[in-house]
Amino acid sequence: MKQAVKYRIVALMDDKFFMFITLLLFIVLNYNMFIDSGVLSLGDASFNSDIKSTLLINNFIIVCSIYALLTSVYIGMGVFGKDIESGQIYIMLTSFPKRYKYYWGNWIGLVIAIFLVLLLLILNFIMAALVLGVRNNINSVFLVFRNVFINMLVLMTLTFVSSIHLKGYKSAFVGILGLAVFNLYAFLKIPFAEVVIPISTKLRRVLAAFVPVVNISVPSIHNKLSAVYNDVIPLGITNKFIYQLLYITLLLILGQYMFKKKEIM
Amino acid sequence: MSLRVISLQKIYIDPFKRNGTESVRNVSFDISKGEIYALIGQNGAGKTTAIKCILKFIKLTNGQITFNDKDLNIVMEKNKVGYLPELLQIPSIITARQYLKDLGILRGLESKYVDCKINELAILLDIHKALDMNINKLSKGMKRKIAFIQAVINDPELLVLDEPTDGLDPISRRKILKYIREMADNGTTILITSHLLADLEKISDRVGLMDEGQLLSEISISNENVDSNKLDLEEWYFQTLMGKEKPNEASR
Repeated sequence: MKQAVKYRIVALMDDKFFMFITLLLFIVLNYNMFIDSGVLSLGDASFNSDIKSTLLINNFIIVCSIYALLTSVYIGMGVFGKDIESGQIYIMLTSFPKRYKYYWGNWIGLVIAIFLVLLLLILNFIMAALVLGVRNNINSVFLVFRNVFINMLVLMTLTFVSSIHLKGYKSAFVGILGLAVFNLYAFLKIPFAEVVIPISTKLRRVLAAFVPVVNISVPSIHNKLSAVYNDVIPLGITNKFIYQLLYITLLLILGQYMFKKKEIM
Repeated sequence: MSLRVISLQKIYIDPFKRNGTESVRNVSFDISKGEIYALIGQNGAGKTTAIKCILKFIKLTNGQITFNDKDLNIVMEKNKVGYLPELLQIPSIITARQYLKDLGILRGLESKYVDCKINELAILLDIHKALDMNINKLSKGMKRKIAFIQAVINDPELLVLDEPTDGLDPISRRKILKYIREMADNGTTILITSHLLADLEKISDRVGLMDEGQLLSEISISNENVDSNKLDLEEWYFQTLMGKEKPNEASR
């Protein structure tokens, strides 16, 4: 399984588009943060410190959330289709007669890739906070990254499992549909359209059960550096984090069964 | 030691239609230890589907596949199967050596043994200078040689090769064919498909011709036949496939 994990990470690093958008994320993030915060740094170091701090965490949450969710869909899509096209799946399955090893190895490889990107983001955040002399609530920051991570896992797993049967961009559609459902129950809006859809709380909670993504709202100046969680909890669930873990596990078990039955043409 | 394929059948069911498409129909053949069996046929004849069924990538509708009278999975679990697919794209950011080493270790080989084996095969196929280059810098032929090395690195008991000499220059082709023949002489059971009939004629022991999912005919290639020019595989191919067509007409 270790070699499948390694192969998946190498394949991802081999993906020039993925490397490009990751690099772009860091450039955009740092550019925004330093320019915006620099404007507010005129005068005494303590001047506007609350605004600077809010700005810093806002930038991270917004960019991380958007980037993270889209990246999750991107890296999860067409995993198996790409391997079939390249022929690597045949080599791997000749070496892994037990298909589940290849399946789990691939998923773990993607999780490690996501984790490494987030780790870099955290380091970037800490360095930026040090440079700008901004003090943050560490627990709040940790909670934000934990939620970004678990959100990424939910969407990546959804796309990954759908890529067993849907080739290439078709599997990305499942992830994007998931994002649209999240937007609908979280903001009552259709993405990219200013159409408000009034749906009942009960229906929102049902939809949240299908795509359990945590809505990480940005902190405001009023609540002193803490991220706000105005979340929709799935119906019949009290702890969304536990539900997300359960959701991922069940999806993966379903995926393992689907992959076992899959005909690799 | 042999591969036995009994009444292989594969039907693809279309969920929107009642009838399925029969890609492989009642195909049976045996390959003995140390024998090279070539499957030939036109594009879409069912060769690759048959191979994918044998290697369990595709589920059989009917039939049985055994190796040494046991399930082929047992040999696969021992990592004693080598497979070279028709198309193999290798991740381009790693070196050829790293790719081969990873696959060797994946198949349960000792690191030192893998290093020796890679060097030995690379020298034999004249790509030792390219081993430490990134794969994206290698030519098509070199990549094909790397793909061939990955198939044989674990000294397989069963080797399945799909178009092994495709895209290679004549000298490299000759070297690979010679190596395949040597492997068979050392006891490896080999199943090969290719459209290069002259290549197959040189190394195969038997040839099976597939058409529309069926195994139409088989022929043994003995040294006597080849030496005395009694056999022309291409002529046999045309005669069998075209049926009524005369050899002279077919060659025009």
